[in-house]
Amino acid sequence: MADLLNVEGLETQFRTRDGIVHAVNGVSFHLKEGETLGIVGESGCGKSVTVMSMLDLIPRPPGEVVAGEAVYQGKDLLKMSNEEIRHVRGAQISMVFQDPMTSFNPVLTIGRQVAEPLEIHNGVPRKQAYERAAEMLEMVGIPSAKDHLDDYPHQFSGGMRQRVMIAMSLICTPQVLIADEPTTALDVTIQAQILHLMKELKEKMGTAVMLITHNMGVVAEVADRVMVMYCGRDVECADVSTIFKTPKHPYTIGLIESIPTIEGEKKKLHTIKGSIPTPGEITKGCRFQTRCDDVWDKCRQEEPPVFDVGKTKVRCWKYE
Amino acid sequence: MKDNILDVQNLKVYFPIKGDLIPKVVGHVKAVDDVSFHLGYGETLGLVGESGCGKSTTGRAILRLVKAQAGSVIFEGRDILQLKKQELKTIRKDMQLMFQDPFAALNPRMSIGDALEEVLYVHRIGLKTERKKKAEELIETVELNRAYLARFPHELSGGQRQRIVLARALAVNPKLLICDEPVSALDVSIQAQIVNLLEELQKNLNITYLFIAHDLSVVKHISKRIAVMYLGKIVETATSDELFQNPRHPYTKALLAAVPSIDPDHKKEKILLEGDMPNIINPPKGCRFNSRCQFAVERCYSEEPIITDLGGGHTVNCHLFT
Repeated sequence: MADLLNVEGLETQFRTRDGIVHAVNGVSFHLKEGETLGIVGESGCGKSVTVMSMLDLIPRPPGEVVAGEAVYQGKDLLKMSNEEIRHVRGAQISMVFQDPMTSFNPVLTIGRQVAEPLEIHNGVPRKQAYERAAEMLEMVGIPSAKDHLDDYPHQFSGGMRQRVMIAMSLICTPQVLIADEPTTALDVTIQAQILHLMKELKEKMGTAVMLITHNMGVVAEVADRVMVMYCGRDVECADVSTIFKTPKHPYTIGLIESIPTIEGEKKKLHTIKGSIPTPGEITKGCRFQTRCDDVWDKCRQEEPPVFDVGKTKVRCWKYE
Repeated sequence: MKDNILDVQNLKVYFPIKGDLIPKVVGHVKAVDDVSFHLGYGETLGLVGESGCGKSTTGRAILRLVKAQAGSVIFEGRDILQLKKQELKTIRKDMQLMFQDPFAALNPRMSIGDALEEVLYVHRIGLKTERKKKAEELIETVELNRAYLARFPHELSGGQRQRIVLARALAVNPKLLICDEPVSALDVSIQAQIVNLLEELQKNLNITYLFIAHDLSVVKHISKRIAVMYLGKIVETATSDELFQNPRHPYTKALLAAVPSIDPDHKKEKILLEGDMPNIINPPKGCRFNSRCQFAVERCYSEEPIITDLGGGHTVNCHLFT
């Protein structure tokens, strides 16, 4: 299938009092039609900034996209004018955020908020937009949705609000849905409901999904391909079964082994030593050098490029 | 029972609901309703459940940080709920609490060394020089460098801060440590470090843990026995292996099925629960799980189930087994 989205060498930095922080430092990936790409990494690795850079959602200043391109349907999102990107955002590429509590306007009704993208992007009259909103809400599993159009966000529970958010993001039938930690704030049984719903809708509408999460289990469950990020870098990228069965990068290996599982025998948990380096701590060489068990001179001197190992793309000198 | 460090019997914690205009009690939130369990010396009991099920409140009630309405908490033969203030203070030395959020649990204006020494000062342990020495020992117990004693909380990462919170709990050599979601705020790679450290300490110091968490995989890893809570009630208790291999209560089954597996080929049969957890102010009549249970029969709506012993320490609170 054709690439829907192609991101090449994306770099985003933030100016702070302590100097420039390279939040995203040369990330490349592509998204095919109808597939689910999981982006995993620990907090601060730049996974959210990556997608926000694509949609021009980085606050400027202090943030700035300094290099790279993000080609969506033949056009570079990063070079679009404000007007142009506004037509993409919410209509063709939409987003679901982590916190369903703070992502709604508390003083507007659910119906108004779900229908709004349709009114803005497609110029649908309000009455029809509301009808469509009710249909969408019904589709995401809100019972007797028509009666809830005039409800306010606070009248919904967390799981229900996340459903409403999904309805809102899909109402314009976008090509790409970016879900940024969509289930992190939810309980496991509710998380299972939402993941199930997202899978179902994806199949029904053929939307490509970018799922950002720190939960390896969620990725294993829903993604087709996985990109692992560490300190603003894409360190490994492969399809889901390859990455979980034969992880290549020492960071990915450590990450997978440090998760306790509910299947199988109990053993001592593997740990990745130390903690994530602070910005500016590592100036040259591989970013994982301080925590890697398998580090040699070259790792400290030069940053590894991407190597192709079988079906995996990995940034590690071991595979040179 | 003599070999139990902690015996919780029929614990009830109710919070009054006041009227909107008139500050009159109009009802109660039954946050913890008739909860019983026990903990043997050096054992780890995992207490799991979703948010709002009363697991943290149970932990706090044991330490008498919230007032229990009824029941008893027998800690080494003495009922915590009946103790006088002075007695409580001495007994609290033996039972400590580790909080979820290491960012909020430390005073930002106190150096790490001072924070550790403060615990000893409060409990009147040792002279100033001795306290200093003890703080140095403590920080090494949690595998941090002594240099951290002079630092302030904001200079530490989340994992390091959680180590300090742990060191502070250990300062008074507790016998029981109540860990309230100790790793949920941490990244996976750091989470594993803290879990390993907790296990290491248990082996060396023979501390008993009550491990409260919502992450089932972590709970399974660390606990010998697990109690599952739903809306203020314990619905199932069993040894960790038994619970995961042979869950009986419909809620436990759904909960276990909901945990995403890291093996992409291992697609489990999903049991999707309908709807949300009901409002605890007005829980369903009969069994509290009836609104989401696919096996609910008429009896579940009228009669509250009682605890059934399935043998081997496996108990379940469901009509299906009576």
